[in-house]
Amino acid sequence: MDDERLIKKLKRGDEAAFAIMVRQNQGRIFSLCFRMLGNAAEAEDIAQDVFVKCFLAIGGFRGDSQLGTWLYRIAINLCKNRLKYLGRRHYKSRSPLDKVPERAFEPEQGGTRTVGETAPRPDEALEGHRAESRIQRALATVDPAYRELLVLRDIEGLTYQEIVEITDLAIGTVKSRLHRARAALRQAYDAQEDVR
Amino acid sequence: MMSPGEAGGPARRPPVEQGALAPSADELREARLTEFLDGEISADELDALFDQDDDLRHALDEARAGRDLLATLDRPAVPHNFLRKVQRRLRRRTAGRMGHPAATQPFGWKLSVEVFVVIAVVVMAGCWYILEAGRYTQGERLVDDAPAAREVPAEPPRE
Repeated sequence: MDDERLIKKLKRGDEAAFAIMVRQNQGRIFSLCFRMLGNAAEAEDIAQDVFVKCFLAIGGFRGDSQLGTWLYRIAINLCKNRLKYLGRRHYKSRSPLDKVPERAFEPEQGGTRTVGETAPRPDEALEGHRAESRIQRALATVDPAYRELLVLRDIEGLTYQEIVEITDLAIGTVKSRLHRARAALRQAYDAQEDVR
Repeated sequence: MMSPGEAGGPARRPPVEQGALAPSADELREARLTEFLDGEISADELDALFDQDDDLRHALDEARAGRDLLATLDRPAVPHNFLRKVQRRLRRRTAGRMGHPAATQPFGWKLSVEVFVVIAVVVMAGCWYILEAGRYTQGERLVDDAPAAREVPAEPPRE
């Protein structure tokens, strides 16, 4: 179902359309929340909130941007608020090995395993898990203002125009800040001990 | 935690604010580096712009390495029963008016409590009216049709 029809149905309060919207976007919204917050339980909580807020506020959606972009905007704002709240409570974002969610292989969740491709060997899987955990820890130490750009551009692969719509930053600022963000991530990654 | 002011560049760089101010030379340079990594400008163009600056090469390598780290990440799997949980939350937020699983079924439908009460009252009133009206009409006819009503016995003469 295209965005326009989906939005019309959502504005009428059609809950079947709501279910379609959730299924279509749950993978990327949960991924964004997880990368921003570094904790699967917090990410799930915020991701649920994103869809509920979207449905309740869809009447005010003017359609200036795509529905997906609007969802990202809601998600980013909720994540930043949650990070501030957690910061006040001296919460340390962490993602130990057993807290990193399994990788998605279902097509609707953005998985990329092809037919005939075999699952990685256990030692390879563990090594991959460690590497991912280390990157996630490094990401958690980067300032949220940088982190959001890293997530939107380098993980979610959004265009600069979409990022400008989501963050309200000038495009030059996005590119400049993205450069610093990548360098900051690299430094943070080097500073992380490889947990074994 | 590394802040925008301290990470990835010299300390003299002013903080970037919402794009309200004109970008500084550093910001323009950084934006150019990002454009190069995105393939928007070629290596020759970059060399022409920065004249083989070693610091620039180092900054570029750092940024590229940071970007490549994130490229290795896979999308995490969505938690089990995510849609159900969202619907449950929607139901809680709307005091039960929305988010019922039946509403997403092909023939599912929903009623708010208020609408249900109004419909119930209307149905009950309708039933009452039909029953009462029927009884009244039937009673009238019974009275009209009663033999006793047609043949009123003459009053017995008084003695």
